[in-house]
Amino acid sequence: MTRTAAVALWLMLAGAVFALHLAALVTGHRVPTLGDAAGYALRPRAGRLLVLAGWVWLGWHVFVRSHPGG
Amino acid sequence: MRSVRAAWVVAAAAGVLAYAWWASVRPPFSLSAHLAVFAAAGALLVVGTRAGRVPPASACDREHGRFVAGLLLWAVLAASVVGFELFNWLQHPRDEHPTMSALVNSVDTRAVRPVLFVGWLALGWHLVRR
Repeated sequence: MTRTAAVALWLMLAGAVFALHLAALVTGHRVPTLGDAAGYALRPRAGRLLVLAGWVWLGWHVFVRSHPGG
Repeated sequence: MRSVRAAWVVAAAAGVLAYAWWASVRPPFSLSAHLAVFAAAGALLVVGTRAGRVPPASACDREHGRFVAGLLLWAVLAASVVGFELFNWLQHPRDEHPTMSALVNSVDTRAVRPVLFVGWLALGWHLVRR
């Protein structure tokens, strides 16, 4: 896989997230927003731990591992 | 009274921005970088938990087919993001297989990182209050 294809796939995933969230807002939550879906995942204790651990990992991944200079 | 509240909000926003700027320019893998992220995460988890949860909108509890299908779509999207991240992480060279952090690096400037840090904090606040 080339870098261009990988970046394109990342952009497609970001676009899909944006489109689904927008569709949810337009349909008045008949489809869940990202927040609604997160709310479901956060209901059970295990889900809450997993989602919040994922959030902490994201911060570590982006702000501890990556280089500030760009 | 409203002006005092507004002043507190402005001061808090300025504090968060200043912290985000400081935290987002720490050297990679340094102690200060770890402290900056984990201290912010810990403080946010404590404050967010004490602030209580926001009740879900009534429409969110509809268990009809479209809503459940939407939940499944979100699960597929989340699995795709995690799977593609892991796939890229296991491949080399990194330039050909960019992970999320590699992408952030490629568009990174000192002006963008604090904004990303504030976005990460906002996401955490949103999640912890759910």
